[in-house]
Amino acid sequence: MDRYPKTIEDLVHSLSALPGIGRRTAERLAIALLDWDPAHLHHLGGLIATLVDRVRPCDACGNFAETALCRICTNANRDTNQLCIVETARQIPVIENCGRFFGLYHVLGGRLSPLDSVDVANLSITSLYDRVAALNISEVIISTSPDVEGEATATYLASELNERFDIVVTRIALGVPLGSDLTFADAATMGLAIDSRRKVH
Amino acid sequence: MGYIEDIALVDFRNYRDLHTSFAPGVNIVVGPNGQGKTSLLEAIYFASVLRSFRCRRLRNLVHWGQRRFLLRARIREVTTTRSLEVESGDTRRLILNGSRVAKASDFIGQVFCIAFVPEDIGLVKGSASNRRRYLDSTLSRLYPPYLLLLQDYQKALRSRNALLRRDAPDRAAVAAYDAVLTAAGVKLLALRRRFFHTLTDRLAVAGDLLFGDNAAVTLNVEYAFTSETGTDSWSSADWAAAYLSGFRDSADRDYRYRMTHVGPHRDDFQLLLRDRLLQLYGSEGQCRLAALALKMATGEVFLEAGKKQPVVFLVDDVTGELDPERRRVFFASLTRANQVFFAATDLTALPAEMAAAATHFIDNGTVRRGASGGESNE
Ligand SMILES: [Zn+2]
Repeated sequence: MDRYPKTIEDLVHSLSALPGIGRRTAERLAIALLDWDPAHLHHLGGLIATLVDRVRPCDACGNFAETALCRICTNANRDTNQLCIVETARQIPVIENCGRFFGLYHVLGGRLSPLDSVDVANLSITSLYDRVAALNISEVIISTSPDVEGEATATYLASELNERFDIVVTRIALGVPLGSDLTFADAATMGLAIDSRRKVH
Repeated sequence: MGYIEDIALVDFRNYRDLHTSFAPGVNIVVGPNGQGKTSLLEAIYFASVLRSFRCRRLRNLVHWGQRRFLLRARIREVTTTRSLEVESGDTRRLILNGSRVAKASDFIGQVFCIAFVPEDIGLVKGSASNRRRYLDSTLSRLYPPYLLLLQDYQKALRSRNALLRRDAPDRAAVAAYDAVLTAAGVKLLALRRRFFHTLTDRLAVAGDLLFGDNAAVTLNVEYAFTSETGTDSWSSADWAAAYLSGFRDSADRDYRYRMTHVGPHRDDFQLLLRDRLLQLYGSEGQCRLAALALKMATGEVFLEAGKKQPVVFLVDDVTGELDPERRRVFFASLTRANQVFFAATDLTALPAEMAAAATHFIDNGTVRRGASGGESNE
C-alpha cells in the first residue's frame, strides 16, 4: 500500500492499535494531525513520550499516580474509614464520577482467574490486609464485576477479611440500570435485580 | 400461529445451494435414503438450537471440501416475520432480524424444534451425557436464563477444577468457587425441578398412549446433594445450604482426585416401566417406545409453555416399528404442533392423520415442492 508516505503509514498503523480506532479513523486522525501547528504537535508528542515514565501505580492503592501516592491517597478530605476494592485502576474514575463515595480505593490488579493462571498470589491481596490493618478502616466495599470470576473474588475477599478483621464487608448491589425501561431488561440483569432486592419501608 | 416459511442453505451437508419454502401444518419430506431428507430436518433443527441432533462436530455439517456453511430461515407469524441467519465455519456469525447477535443465548429458541430421531434411544439406553445434553438443550429453550446460568456454572466448575490441579491447591480459593457454584447451581436446580415436575405428568400420558393404559412410564430423577430423609419440604435456602455444604464435604475427595466429583453437572434421570429400569431391563423395542414417549412429553411441555414461538416437530425414521394403532396415536399427537416435518421414503404408507399441507421431494441435494393435491408449484 503506497497511499501515504511511510511516516504517515506508520502513524496510521500505530493509531489503529488503539481501542475503538479502525483503519479509516486512524487515517482521519493522522491527516488531522498534519494540520496542527508544530508547537501543539510537539506538546502532544511529549505527553505520549513521557507517559510511561511519569505515570505509575500509586504505592498505596494502585491507582494511576505521578508521584509515590495518587491524588486520592494524598487528599486529606477523603474518608479513611471506607475502602473500596476494584479490579483495575480504570474502574476508579467510574466510581468517582458517581459522586457518592469519598473513601479510599484498593486496586487488586485483576481477579481470581484460575483458568488464566491468576491466583491469590498474583493479586495485591497481602497489601490489602496490610492497609486494612494499618488504616482505621471500618467498612470495605467490594466492587469486583458481577460475573463468575468477580463473584468468586468477592466471596474469597469477604471471607478472608471477615476472618482477619472486625470490620463491615459489603458488596455493591446489582440490578437494572437507572432510567431504563424494565420491559427491555435482559433476563440475567433482571435475575440479579431480583436477587439483590431490598425491603421497602 | 407461526411456522417456518422458508429456508436457504449453502454448503450444508449435500445442499450446495438450496432455497425452498414450507407450509404451515404437515410437511412431508419424501425421497430415497441418502438423498438429504435427514439433512434438511437437521438444518431446520440447527436454526432453532445451533446444534445437530445426530452429530456433535459442526465440521461434519459443512459440505465436503468447503470451509463454512450458510443457513437462513424465515419464521412467519400472524403479522410479522423473523429472520435467522447463521454462518458457521472457523468462526460463527449469528444474525437475527438483520442484526448481529453475539451470544447464542440471544439467538436460540426463536422457534421450538423437537426432533424425533432414532438416536433418541440413547436417552434411555445410553450414557448420562446423552440425557444431560437433552436436559440442557431443552431447558435452555424453555427458560431464558437457563443457558447463561449453565455457562456460569460450567465456567466456575472449570475454574474450581483448575484450582484443584495446582501443586498446592488454595483451599480458600476453592471454597470461594464453592459459593459461586452454589449460586448458579441452585438456580439451575430450581428450573430443572420445575421442568421435571411437568414432564412427569406428560410422560405418564404419553406412556399410556404408546404402551397401553396404566403402563406406568415414570421418571427417576437423581439430583446432587439430596437427603435420605427427603427434600420435598426444602426451601430454596435449604437447597443452597445443602449445595454449599455438599461441595465443602466432597472437597477432600476432590483434592485427592483433582476434580469436582459431585454437583448438578452430574444430575441424571432414568426412565422406568412399571418400576423397572428400562436402561437395564428394557428390551430394544421398549426403550425405543419410551424414548418416543419422552419426546412426545417434551413436545407437550413446549406446547403448554404457551410461548409465542412456534413449536415445530421433526420426525425422522422412528415410526417403522410402531403397530397401526400406535402409529395412529403418535401421528395424532404430532398434529398438535404448529408445523411438522415428516421424513418418508415413499408416500404410500402415510396414515390419514398426516394429511399433508405440502410435500417436498428430495433428490440428491435438491428439493422440489409439490402441493398436497399433487399439483406442482414449480
Ligand atoms: Zn492511591
